[in-house]
Formats: sequence, structure tokens, C-alpha cells
Amino acid sequence: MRKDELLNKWIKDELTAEELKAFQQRDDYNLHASIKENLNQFKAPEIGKIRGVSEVYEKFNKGTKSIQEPNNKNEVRTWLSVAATVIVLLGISLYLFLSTTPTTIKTIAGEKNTISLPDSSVVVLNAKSKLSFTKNEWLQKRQVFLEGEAYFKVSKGSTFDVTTNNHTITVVGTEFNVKERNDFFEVKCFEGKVKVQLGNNARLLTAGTSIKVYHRQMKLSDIHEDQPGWIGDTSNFKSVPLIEVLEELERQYSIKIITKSVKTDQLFTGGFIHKNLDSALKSITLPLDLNYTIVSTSKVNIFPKK
Amino acid sequence: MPKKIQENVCDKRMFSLIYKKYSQEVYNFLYYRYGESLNPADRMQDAFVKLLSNCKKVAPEKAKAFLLSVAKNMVLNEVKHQKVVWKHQNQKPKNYTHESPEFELEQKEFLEGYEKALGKLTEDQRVSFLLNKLEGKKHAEIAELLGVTRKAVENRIYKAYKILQNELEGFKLQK
Repeated sequence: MRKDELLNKWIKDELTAEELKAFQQRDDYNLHASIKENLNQFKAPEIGKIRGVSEVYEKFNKGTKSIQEPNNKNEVRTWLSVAATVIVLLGISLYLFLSTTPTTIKTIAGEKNTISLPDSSVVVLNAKSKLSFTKNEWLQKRQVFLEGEAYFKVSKGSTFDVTTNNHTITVVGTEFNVKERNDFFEVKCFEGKVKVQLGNNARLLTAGTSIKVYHRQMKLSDIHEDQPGWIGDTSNFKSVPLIEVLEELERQYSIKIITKSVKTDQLFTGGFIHKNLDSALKSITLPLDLNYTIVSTSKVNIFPKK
Repeated sequence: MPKKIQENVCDKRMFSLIYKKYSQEVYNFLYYRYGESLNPADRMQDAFVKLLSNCKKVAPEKAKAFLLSVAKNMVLNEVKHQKVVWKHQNQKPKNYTHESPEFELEQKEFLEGYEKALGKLTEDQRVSFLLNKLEGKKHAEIAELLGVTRKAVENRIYKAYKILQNELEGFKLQK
């Protein structure tokens, strides 16, 4: 599209005095001036006078089951006091028990979502993932179903189960990351203890360790972060098959990657950021002697460097 | 390792401050993007409710980015079925004190045409255009907000202008 350069400059308020004079001589000048002048008719009203912060608290209290407003005291870890939460939950509503349908939260490519569970446990859901749980069963049994990847901060209390398509993970008050994508399964334990059920065997992970299963091969390793990179908008990989790295890239940027003559089974160690596609692609292709072209906003080709 | 922050978002005073500071900006973003019919005031407060729910996980200096990210990602299913509705504020232009009835009528028709034209812009064109022209936001700031390049924002604003020019060409205007 050939741009009307003079108009473009006028829009940006970048006209010199002479250019402005020339612009004002144009036939369409009146129209543009009217558009500009009448713009303030559409200014957003002042919202502070109409909606106050107390309404936010009202909505919040209605939505979550807490009847306490956040207080000024230093919170050490109030979400650990499950006893108080349970009393509140029981007292709050019979309406909870009327709903038996599970709560499901889904994320799309490039999206992350933070979810509060009825016991104040927190789940951060990574892109293209799904979390399900049933609210009214929560007091008897804490159990969620996960597809994809999520980071959990579980409040102390009864056992907490995370069930994926192929595995079950049991915890009691810890912080950990669960990832199951196609044939790749990984659990990282950041705090506390996590029990991972693999077929007939169970593995106990302590803080700072992770377990990885790919193509039915299992590997235990140490981790040095205190939370997964993707929460801070980077993805980090340690000896992870390239196919999984590329799939995560597809999920974060909502694109499709097509590889030509690339060994997608090779292991990759490194990371990429979630905010700049070029930088992310470079981080992956350069160490592996690959090259890429961005064909469109939703398609990227990756191929070997000649 | 949890950081011991002296003031965190859960603190009522801090949260009220954050609300005071950013409620208008979040509201503006939603208002300009989706128009009035989708109740931007409620959606703005929904964003703050989400911040309150996550107050332990968001540092005060990250609150603004969090709120705008929530606003940006709001999946408003109603958008697909409803047309964006715009209303002008019915403010009299400063320069004029007496107007002829003809002028008043033409002005009214022009503004109604303007409303419709704004409704025809894409969300991104409209929000870029209005944030830049009405709220004085720089291209770079809008680019970061929407997750696109600065050039993309400039192009959207230009396109918005061209569409408005197209739609409003036929109206009689008096200067």
C-alpha cells in the first residue's frame, strides 16, 4: 500500500512549517481537521468517580470463598492454614455442594493462566494445557486432571493428586512442575516431596530433583532453579529432544514449525524467551547449526545451515 | 525462596493505591478496544479481582503489566455476536457559542457517522489509534502493550485514519 506520506506525517505531528502549509491547502484538509477535532468526543469517561476499589473487594469476596479481606499483617504463609480454610469453606455455601460438574480451565497457544484452588493451592497453567477438578469433592479428596504443563504450589493438608493421561503424581504440600506432552513426561520438584507413579513402581522426588521419561527411558537429575523458567517467560531445556523444544516454541508463539532434513531426536540444552520470536529462533538454531525463515506470522521453516 | 517484600499487593493500602493509579488506564484500554456495549467498567474490575486473587504472586512493580496482560487476554465471547457500539459524549466544541440549526444537525450527523466508522475499525486499529491520539501514548508504548512492533502500530494508526477518511468523506462539514 503506497502511503500518503504527507498525511502520515501530519498524523504523527511531524510536519515542518512549510509542509503544514502545503497540507492545509489540500482539498481533504477540512475533513482531516474535523476528524482530529472531534476525536475528544470519544474520550473514555473518568472511571474513578463511578467505580471504586471497594467494589473490587466485593466481587473478589463473592467469587472466592474467603470472607477475610487481605490484612496488613506480614503474611508468612497464611495459605498453609488449611484448617481455617476448611471451616470457611464449610460455612460458606451449600451451593458448593449443588454443583457436581467439574471445573475446567484451558489455555490456548501463547497463554498462561493462574488458578486458585478451593484450598488456596495455586496452579499456573502453561500454554495449550488443560486443568480439571471438581469443587465439591475438594474437602474429601484433592485431585486435579492435567493435560499439558502446570506449576503447582500446594498448601499443606491431605494428599494432593495430579493425574495426567499416563501418570499420577501425589504430593503433600510442595512446589513442583508437571509436564506431559505426547511421549515426553517430566516432573520437577522445587520444594517438599513428590511421589511419581510409573507403572508398578513409585519414585519419590525430593526438592531439587527431577524425573524425565521419554521413549520409555527414565532419567533422574538435579535442578538448580527455584521455579520453572516458563513462569518468568523463558523456557529452559536440559538434554531435551529437539522435537519437544520446537513444540513448546509453537505453543508459546502460536505458530507452526516445519522442519526439513533436521534430526528432531537430537538433544538440546538451552532456552528461549517468550517475547521475541526472532531471538527465540536464534537461541535454538544457532547452537545446532540450523537456519530458519519466517514464512508468515504463523509459519516458520527450519533447515540445516549449508 | 519466597522474597520478603515489605509491601505487597495483598496489603489493602497498596492495592487501593494500585487501583487508583491504574484503573483508568486499564479501563481506557478496554473501552477503546471493545466499546461500551461490552461493559468495560465491569471488565476492568474483573482484571483487578484477578490481581487480588494472585496478589501473592505479583510484585507491586509488576502490577501494571499484569493488569494490562489480563485485559489483553480477556476472551470476550460476546464480541463475536455483538457489534461494537460507540457513543459520543455530546460535548459542545469550545470555539462555538451560537450555532445555526443546520450546523447543529450536520454536526450531529457527522458525529453519528464518526461513531459508526469507529465501530468499523478492527480492535487493534481502534485501540492503537485512540490510545495514541486521545491519551497521548507513544507508538513504542502501545507496541509493547499489544506485543507488536512500533512500525505495526504506526501502520495501524495510519490505516485507522484512512478508514475514517473513507467513511466520513461524504459528510458536509463546516469549519
